[in-house]
Amino acid sequence: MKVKMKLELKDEPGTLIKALLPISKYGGNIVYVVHDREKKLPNGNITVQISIEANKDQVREIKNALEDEDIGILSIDEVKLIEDLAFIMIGHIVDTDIKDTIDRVDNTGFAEVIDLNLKMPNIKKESSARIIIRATGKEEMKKCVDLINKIANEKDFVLIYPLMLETQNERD
Amino acid sequence: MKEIKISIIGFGSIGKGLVREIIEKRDFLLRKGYDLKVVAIADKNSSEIDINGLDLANVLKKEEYSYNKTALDIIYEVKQDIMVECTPSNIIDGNPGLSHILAALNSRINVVTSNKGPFVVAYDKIIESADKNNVSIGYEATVGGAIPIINLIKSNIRADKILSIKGILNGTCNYILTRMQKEMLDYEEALFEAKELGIAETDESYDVKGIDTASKLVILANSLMKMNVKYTDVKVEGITRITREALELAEEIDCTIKLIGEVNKEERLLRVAPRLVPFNHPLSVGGTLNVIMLNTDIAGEITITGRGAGPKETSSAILSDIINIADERL
Ligand SMILES: NC(=O)c1ccc[n+]([C@@H]2O[C@H](COP(=O)([O-])OP(=O)(O)OC[C@H]3O[C@@H](n4cnc5c(N)ncnc54)[C@H](OP(=O)(O)O)[C@@H]3O)[C@@H](O)[C@H]2O)c1
Repeated sequence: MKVKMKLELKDEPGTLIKALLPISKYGGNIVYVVHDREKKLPNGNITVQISIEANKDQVREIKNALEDEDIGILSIDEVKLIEDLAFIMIGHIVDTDIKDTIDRVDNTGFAEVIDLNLKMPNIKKESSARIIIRATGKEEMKKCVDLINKIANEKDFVLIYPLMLETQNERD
Repeated sequence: MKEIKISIIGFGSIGKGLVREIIEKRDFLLRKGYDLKVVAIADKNSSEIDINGLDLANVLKKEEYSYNKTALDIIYEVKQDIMVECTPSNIIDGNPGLSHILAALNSRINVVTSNKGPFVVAYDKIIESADKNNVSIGYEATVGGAIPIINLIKSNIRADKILSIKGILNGTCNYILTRMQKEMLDYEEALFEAKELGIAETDESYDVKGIDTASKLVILANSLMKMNVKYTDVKVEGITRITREALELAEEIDCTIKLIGEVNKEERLLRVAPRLVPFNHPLSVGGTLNVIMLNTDIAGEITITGRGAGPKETSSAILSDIINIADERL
């Protein structure tokens, strides 16, 4: 059968080869590879679309091998396995226990903070942060957004979400 | 030739701007067959009246007006086809505009207005009064300044159901955010600049706290989406806490921050909040521009952008409502 996979790679030389090796190793036949270096994810990584011919067992083995190599599988046949959300938060982010904020997301078990970029102008003023959250699927991301809203409410943060909450994996 | 007698109630920046446009456009309108006569103007305490049509250039020069007749006196006593209501917007009880509008409608006078207040608090009541008395009410100028959003939906995309509306509905907020990003200004600096340029009001809170945007959302939701909502149904966050650093962080991922008003019928969602908007998105317009994006069941997405405020721009909307009424009713 034909399977379409979308992978997340670091924008570095050699990463594409690393992703393709397990496919041939487990007998998958690569039909095409679309490698778009212009379209970056919010964390700076790039995505590559690979279409392969392989049977079910081979697909499972390929998936495991990619995961062992720490290569993010964004989706298989349009089914998303990863949801990313980049948003901005304004408030007394550090003073209100930044570790607690991150831990509460990470402790859900289905979502984690994968990137945090903090700018603090001076002590009196409110600071700003761009945060990227990764969840294991759409429903999980929704729950995570509810949790973030709750934390923001408690700690008096302003949240700036993307215009389209769903289309976060690719900013197009 | 159609003679249209109008009164202008509330003679501040919009009322005067309208008179300037009427003077400017007089010949153009005459050629099209419309003889627009302003028979009365009124501010809070005084008025100017001439049942044969005021000398408008002269009225603009005056600092004090000749009569002490009130708005309601004029509505009840002066024969007119259309009352143009331009008093300040009050979203608590809609007055004085609401009482002027209801008095006019019940006296069988058509109404055109730029005043949001009455529509935020009493949309149904106003429409009912107009229907009952068999007169028209035009309120294009209440939302989006020169952008013809209400008439667009009412007279053009008539078979479509409006599923959602998103947009930038306040030029002051858009100006402040644009300047913060382009010039790396703090919020206070950009606000100061907006005031200096006369873009922001002396009391800016109505704009920057999102109240103005939320009021316009309520009007759109009620009049174009039949949602029957109140101001308190809107979740509102303004731009007062947006930092220059937040705009930097947004820019690093090719986005800007805009104050977006959003209404979605199916989700019964009404929200005003700063949002991350990609630079290449149609809603990413800068300066004082407004922009509205509709999503309908047949047409899909339609985006329309233009100048959202200012006396001249608002006069475009008021004049087109006046002419529509003249075509329909006079
Ligand atoms: N400015 C814009 O760009 C813009 C755009 C779209 C819509 N609007 C809306 O248009 C309306 C007018 O705005 P504006 O900028 O022209 O405001 P403005 O400059 O403050 O003018 C308001 C006018 O209303 C008069 N007024 C107040 N109470 C009155 C009463 N009880 N009876 C009669 N007149 C009364 C005021 O008279 P006094 O001077 O004697 O107090 C003044 O002449 C507002 O509802 C506003 O929200 C404005």
